[in-house]
Amino acid sequence: MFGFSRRSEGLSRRDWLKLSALGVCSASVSGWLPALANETAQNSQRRKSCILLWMNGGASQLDTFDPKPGTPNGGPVKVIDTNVEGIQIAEHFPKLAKFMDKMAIIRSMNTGPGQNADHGQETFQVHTGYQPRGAIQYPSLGSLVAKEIGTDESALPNYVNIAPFRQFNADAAGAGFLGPKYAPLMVAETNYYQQQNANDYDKMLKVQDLAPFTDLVKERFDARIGLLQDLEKDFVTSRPGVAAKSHATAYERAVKLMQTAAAKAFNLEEEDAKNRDRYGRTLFGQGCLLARRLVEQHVPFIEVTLGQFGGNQLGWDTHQNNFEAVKRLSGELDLAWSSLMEDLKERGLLDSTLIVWASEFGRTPKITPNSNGREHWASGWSTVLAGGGIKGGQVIGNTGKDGMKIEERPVTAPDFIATVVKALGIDPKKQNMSNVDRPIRIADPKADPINELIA
Amino acid sequence: MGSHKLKFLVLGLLFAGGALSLARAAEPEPKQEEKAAAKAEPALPAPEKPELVGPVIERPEGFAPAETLIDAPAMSSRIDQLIQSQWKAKGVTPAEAADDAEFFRRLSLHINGRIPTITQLKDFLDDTRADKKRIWTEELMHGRDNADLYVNHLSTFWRQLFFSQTNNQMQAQYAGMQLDPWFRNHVKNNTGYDKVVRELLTGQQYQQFAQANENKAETIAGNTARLFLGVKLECAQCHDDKSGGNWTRMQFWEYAAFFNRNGGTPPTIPIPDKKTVAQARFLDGTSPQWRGGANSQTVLADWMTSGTNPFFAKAVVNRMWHYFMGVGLVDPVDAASEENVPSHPELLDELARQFAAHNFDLKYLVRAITGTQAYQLTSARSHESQDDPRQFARFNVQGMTPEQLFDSISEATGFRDNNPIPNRFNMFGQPNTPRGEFIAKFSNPHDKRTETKTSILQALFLMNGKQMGDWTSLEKSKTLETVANAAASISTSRRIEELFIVTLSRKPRPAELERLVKYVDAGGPAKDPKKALADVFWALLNSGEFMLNH
Repeated sequence: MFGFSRRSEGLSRRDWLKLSALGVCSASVSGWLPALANETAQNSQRRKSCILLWMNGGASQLDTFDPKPGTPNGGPVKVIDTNVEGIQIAEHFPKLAKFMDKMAIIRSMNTGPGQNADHGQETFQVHTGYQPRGAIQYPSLGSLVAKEIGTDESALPNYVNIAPFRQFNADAAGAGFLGPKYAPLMVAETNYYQQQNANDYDKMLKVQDLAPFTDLVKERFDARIGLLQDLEKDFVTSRPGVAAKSHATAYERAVKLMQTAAAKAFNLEEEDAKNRDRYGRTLFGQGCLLARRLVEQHVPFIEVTLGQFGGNQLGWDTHQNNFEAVKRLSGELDLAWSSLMEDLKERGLLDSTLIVWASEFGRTPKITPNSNGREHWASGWSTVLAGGGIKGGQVIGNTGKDGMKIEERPVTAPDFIATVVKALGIDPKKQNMSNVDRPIRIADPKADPINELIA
Repeated sequence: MGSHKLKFLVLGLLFAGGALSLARAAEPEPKQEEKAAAKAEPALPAPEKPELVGPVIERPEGFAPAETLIDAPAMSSRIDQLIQSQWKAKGVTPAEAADDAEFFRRLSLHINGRIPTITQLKDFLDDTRADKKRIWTEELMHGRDNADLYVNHLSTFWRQLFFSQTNNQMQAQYAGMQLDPWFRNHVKNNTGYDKVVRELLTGQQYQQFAQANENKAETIAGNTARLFLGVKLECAQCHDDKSGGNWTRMQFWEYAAFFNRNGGTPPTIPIPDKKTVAQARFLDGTSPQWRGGANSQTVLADWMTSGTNPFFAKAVVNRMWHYFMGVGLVDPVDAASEENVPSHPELLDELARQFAAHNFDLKYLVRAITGTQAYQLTSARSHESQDDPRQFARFNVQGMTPEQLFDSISEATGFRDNNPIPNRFNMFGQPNTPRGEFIAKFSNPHDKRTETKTSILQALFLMNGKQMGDWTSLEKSKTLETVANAAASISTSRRIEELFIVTLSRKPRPAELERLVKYVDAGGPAKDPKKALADVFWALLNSGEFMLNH
């Protein structure tokens, strides 16, 4: 007859405790789906949130926030004044220019080997503050912030990644050694294969399969989860490890998400039509609107990716026709980002929300004549920090007349990560235990945060 | 594909309470004469011969094929000996042996890409021969019902591997798909791994491989070094590698020069931002002797796939070890370096020498590795000293590939995808079959096998998605229909046992059975025993025990 395992029959009390700590048994079998109260109402001491606007492919600094008008490297792009005297940006950002007092531009990002920078490696580095090497699985900024600011009780995941493009480096968005608890919920993931869905943003931005099968009454779903939990606890106990734990954690968080009213944040159709229009009816625009709705629900970290241009997922990777692509993408960015700032401000959330604008790298100051393009460039490019926790209206560093050389305050990837977390009130020197049993600081010990930028 | 029919027949037999002698003679006959198979070479053009005599390759020190052949069973024992000596030195208490069902599920997932049919599981468990594990390993590779599965699964494995980490995924997918028949042929004929790689680098197939690598010498260089030599060279593309690889930038470009189509003879390649060029040189520091007209890729392939190449055999042995054991002897697998050294250097060295001496026979590795006691340990933890996955003191729990998971669900539920096209993607690169959609949703190509992560969206999809709705529907799932609608005389516990066996390949434990019988007899919240069985089936399919290879 069938042989079967005689091991791990029954759980000891200690095993039960261990499992509870893993969250496997955190809910009783009965009542898995009581809707949680929407907790946004009172928030006297509001926790901070961070929204990372990620420009996939590498945005040209010269045609956005570090223009060099009237020079050969500057190209045809004109500049405009902002609401801060002495700070000019590219003409593509008339709406953002009115928020310059809330924004700080870093023009001296120095993160890699000039023109030889690689998408995958730099995407990882700018997201984690570390080089991808060796066995250490560095967590992304989103997971680090989720751990520091998020709470275990929250029904929504503490890190939501909107429209990520993970084919450069899948680990760049991951929780690494922090573990599956801090992994992102990803919606509207884009890749090389799914270009035709670009305008299907409403569907893409929804969390699919959030409701049980229609013919399944609530009691029956609860019962199923109960049965599943019994199976899970035996397995996680007898076969501890990342794979089993990740499975149990994902199911636990998924069920939590099903049961919370806060998941309504994903119902963009609840939003006023005019407000939807102002962000722009694009995947990125509506993604920014979703980010605001998630901030209202206390999600501490949200990343929104912009990179789609004319069916190309790497719109910012402007080896060809740099100026046209940058102009189009900047228009989308200006609309969505400025509306995000405005909307957050109207709701009293701008002071507690840090907005970060970044890419994996910038573009070569020299224009490649034949293609009218700009190549990869990691030594002297721009990022922007805006909103809560930031002393706005200033520029850090400069890249000289022609953009070829950082002349002041080079900012490394560790410096950048340290600055962002510090602006969120997190100590960049804090240590987390890594997968190689060695404590690793949030930012590399050599990191030098830009203190003059932090409010 | 008679196995599905057979399965339901068996279910019927089980319910009828009859003896479990099966329709098929349970006497698998291994047809393992690879030499005979090798004679039936695929109808593919022979690799181009270099026009002139190739270079004289200096024999690198320290590696050569073994002079005395050791057969796979003896090699398995030798491997265990080496693993056990480390246990002893480190005070490791290994886990006990896996029971037959646990072993067979694992083996089926690894070499057939899905959980076993209950027919075969039964056959295996009822088999009383002392060497049944070896006999069935052959059956799963060559048997009538299994040979195709082996070819499907392993050719997908190699294709995805060779066409994975490139910047242009779309192009790589497409190019990889074009080579699908080529991969299948070689797996079917068990072509020596050296010949496969040689053909990829020197035959018509090179065109697709180069295309997937953007036709750039430096990209091809980085990927071939990683794939075929197990070293991560690409960091050295821009600067001397300080991350433990110790490759110099010059070495990278010397190696890349082999792939420079317009590099001349001997081929050279300009080093970016420098005024110098690099001339082709092997990674072990030796140089070919060039004669006019020599094809540089042929020259490289001769060196790379030679029995004395110090990297080649070890790289693939390590990769196969990683595939079966969850963790490489060198791990990460693609980045051997002075900092990333093997956990069992002797084991890697000896197995690689034997592999080379066995004409790079991949099935030799399958046999040698799955025949070890280490492979056949349970994955259940019984002592804290089993926590280091590199000691192989309990079997490392591994995530399934999306293909393994989908095909296992299909096997368990009786789902048949009637779409005849095995491809994942249509011409536009979009998933176009239920299997394709599922695979796209569960694709986690960069996860380590032992650290496969389930995402919230995947959990939601499996709990609430339409496909799972069908799979666990009393009307649409053949398995569930059979179990739920079986004769009234069949006991509840029998039905629950069937659901366990068909999903988890094991019987329920007494406590589980007691709990579930109570649940089903009461009918669950729906007060309907059939619906309650559907609830149990749903929970089993969603469990980590089902979704992981352990």
